[in-house]
Amino acid sequence: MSKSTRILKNIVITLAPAVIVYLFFLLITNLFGEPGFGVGDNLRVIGYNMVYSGFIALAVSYNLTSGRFDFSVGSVLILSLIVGGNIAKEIDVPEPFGAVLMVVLVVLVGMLCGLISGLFYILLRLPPMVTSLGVAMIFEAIGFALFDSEGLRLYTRQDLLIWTKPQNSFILLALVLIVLIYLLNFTKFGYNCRSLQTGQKNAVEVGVNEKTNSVVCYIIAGGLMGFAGIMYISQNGIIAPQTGLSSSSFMMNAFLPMFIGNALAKYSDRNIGVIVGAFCQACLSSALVYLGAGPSMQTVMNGVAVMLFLIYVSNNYKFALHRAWREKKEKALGMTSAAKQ
Amino acid sequence: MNEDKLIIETRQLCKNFGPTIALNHVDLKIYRGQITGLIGENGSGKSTITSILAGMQPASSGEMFFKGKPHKPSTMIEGAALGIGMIVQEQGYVSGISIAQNIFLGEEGRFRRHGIISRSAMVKAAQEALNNIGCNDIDASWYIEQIDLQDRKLVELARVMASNPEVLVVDETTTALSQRGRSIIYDIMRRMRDEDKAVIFISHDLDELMEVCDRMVVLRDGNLITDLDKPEFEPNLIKRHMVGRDMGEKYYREDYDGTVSDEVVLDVDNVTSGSGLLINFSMQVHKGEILGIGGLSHCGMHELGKVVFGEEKILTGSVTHVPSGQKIRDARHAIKLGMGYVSKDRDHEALVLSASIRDNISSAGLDKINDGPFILPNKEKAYVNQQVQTLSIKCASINQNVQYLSGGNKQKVVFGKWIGRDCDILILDCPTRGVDVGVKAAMYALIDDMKRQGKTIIMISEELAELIGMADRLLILKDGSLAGEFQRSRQLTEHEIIECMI
Ligand SMILES: Nc1ncnc2c1ncn2[C@@H]1O[C@H](COP(=O)(O)OP(=O)(O)OP(=O)(O)O)[C@@H](O)[C@H]1O
Ligand SMILES: [Mg+2]
Repeated sequence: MSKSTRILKNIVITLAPAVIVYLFFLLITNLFGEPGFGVGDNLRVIGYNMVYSGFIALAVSYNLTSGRFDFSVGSVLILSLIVGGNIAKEIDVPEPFGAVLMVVLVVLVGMLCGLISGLFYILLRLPPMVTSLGVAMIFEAIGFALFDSEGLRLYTRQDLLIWTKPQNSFILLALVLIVLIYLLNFTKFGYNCRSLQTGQKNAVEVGVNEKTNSVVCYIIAGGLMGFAGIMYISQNGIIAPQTGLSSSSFMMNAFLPMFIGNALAKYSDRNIGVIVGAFCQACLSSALVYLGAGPSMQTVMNGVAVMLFLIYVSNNYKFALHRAWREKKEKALGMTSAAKQ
Repeated sequence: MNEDKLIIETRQLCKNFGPTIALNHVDLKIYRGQITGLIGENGSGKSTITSILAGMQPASSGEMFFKGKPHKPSTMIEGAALGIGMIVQEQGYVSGISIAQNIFLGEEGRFRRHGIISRSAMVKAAQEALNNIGCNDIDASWYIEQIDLQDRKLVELARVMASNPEVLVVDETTTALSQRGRSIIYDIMRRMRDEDKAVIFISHDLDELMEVCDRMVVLRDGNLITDLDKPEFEPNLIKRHMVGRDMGEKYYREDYDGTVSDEVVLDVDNVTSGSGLLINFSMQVHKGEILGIGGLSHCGMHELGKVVFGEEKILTGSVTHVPSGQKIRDARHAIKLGMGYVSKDRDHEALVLSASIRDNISSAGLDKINDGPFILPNKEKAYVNQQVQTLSIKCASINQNVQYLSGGNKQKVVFGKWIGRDCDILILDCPTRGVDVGVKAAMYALIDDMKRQGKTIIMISEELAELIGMADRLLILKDGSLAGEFQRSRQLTEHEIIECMI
């Protein structure tokens, strides 16, 4: 296969899930006589959900692919919004720059939170899930203690909430993706991520620095949760502090996009794959609304989709295997009959 | 020895793992222009001392000097940068990434141009590294999983050689390799010596060591016992230094009587395996027979072992357990019919590394130590202790995790797991890999005993001497088919068999 056809094939495979899922639900909703899915306003909703859950899924993917399950991402989202947003609110700058400044501040606070999570992880040497539960509780408590437990209220400040406009949110996502694609594919950090992902022990033994790498992953995840927070506040205008680990529900929608992203990673890049996955998930939830499913039904269907997808991924190598078996069997039988003659 | 040539020196080097003393005040000297053999029983500290030199782990106390300067590398990358490269005994590659990435693991920065790491430059350099050691047939852009275990070892070799080391450490690698891999490694070791560099070669194969090395250092229980130059090489003397007493002469079987009963216990009929090359293969195995199976890499012999045990997909034909008349469906069925299987890929297939010696050994013998649904702890302990004793498995206790055992002791655990079961048919794939001569002799004696009790043994091995020494009948495979068959005889030579293999 020549280089250009290989690249073309990879692009087709990467985008295929998005196109197939979109067309499938378009067909279904129209068959059920519920048009409106996937066009006009609804397309805008799908776009928003893709960017919002895409950021969260990207954040989760940097740690989970290396086996670090991080419960604290939701609390990072809340805390970075409360701190970064409230500071941005107080600073007076001319019109579009206020919104940009807020992004910068929220993302920086998110990265700082990520750094703290990462340091806890490498210093405590506890299983990451345990550490992240503790960190989540601390972040929730800090978010509650600051600004009179008011959280962040921005509905009077439309000038700061420009990020729901599709063109703006897409620019934000595109910039982030460019940075992430660069980091994961063209830097030593990215190479280390991949070698630490599977054969951890051997990579560490050779001298790949697992600690630095995981701290950087936590910082990236924190920053991405800041971006997700921006999308959240721009849509809702308000976020209240939460307690009792309820912040962990923010990561609910991360799994389907992340698994899809991992499966597509070998054709293009994990980051792009995650966004394709986030698009598929956004289509699924919108279509379910059109088909009349309530919120709990949507949650169930999302879970079912994750399961089905994992079953598919863990079995699809079998197609190639069966083909190889068939060929070899034919060869063997051919030899036997040739010998008989 | 000419002290100008001294390249590595350790002084009073010690290493403890909790209560285990792995190295006890060792003064080791390594010289340029020499291949130094390191020999000693399993668990004597060979891997420990070399891995400390290479930077994989720190010493507990003592000093090291490299080219006259204090030496204390903290990672293997640092060790390699200083000039010490090591091919480790265990799996040393990282899965899920390409061969090129494996070769330049931790050194990706070399291919950075304008802030971007160039994948194509990396693949090109990796291919050169592979070609340099004579592995032109391995494509550097493949994923590491696309090549077999033996070739993965060669990738590790390419990685080590790519950093152009002044000292090369080869830790018990050759037993995992086929003939081709071995000759590649020997060539490189000789090339290093001719370039006035140094090689440390760890092996349990005394013949191999005597042929390849210029000098031999013997370790026993973490102590450096002696240091022999080539003229002083004498097998019995070396063995005595290793074990600290005279060893019996008996090694392989002593009789040359290859006759076995006519009773067929296994009938492999026209079998084609799902993976590997094995195609339309037939053989019959008799009661009380030791059947040897040999061949070059990719000849299908390892797949044959799995086929017989029901661990491998069968595309055509069948394997019949003749006494019961049943066709073998899968491994569970095979175990029920009294069969056992020692896999070559011990870290993945034969052992649970994170479990204890006790759990690993008793897992195959659960039906021997239970009383209804209950496992009896005392019976289990006695059962496990017996295997530990027979095979002299060197461990802190039977509750120690298998991953912390030395390579040869891991292999003994695998062997013990199946020997204890008292199987009627035992399939052994490279059973003595990495095991020291003393224990090898014990294993051969056990195999011989089993034969005398009328048990059947299929012994698959890369080591011809072992096959010739033990088998009643020897089958040689080539490209998945039978290439030759030899009966046990005093006259049988390795040369004859190699002719048949290639
Ligand atoms: N990480 C570890 N934790 C605990 N004990 C260890 C560890 N590594 C090695 N040991 C112990 O140190 C001793 C020396 O082990 P080492 O691996 O150096 O032996 P070896 O000479 O290489 O043996 P072999 O021929 O079997 O490879 C053994 O008793 C082993 O059990
Ligand atoms: Mg060893």
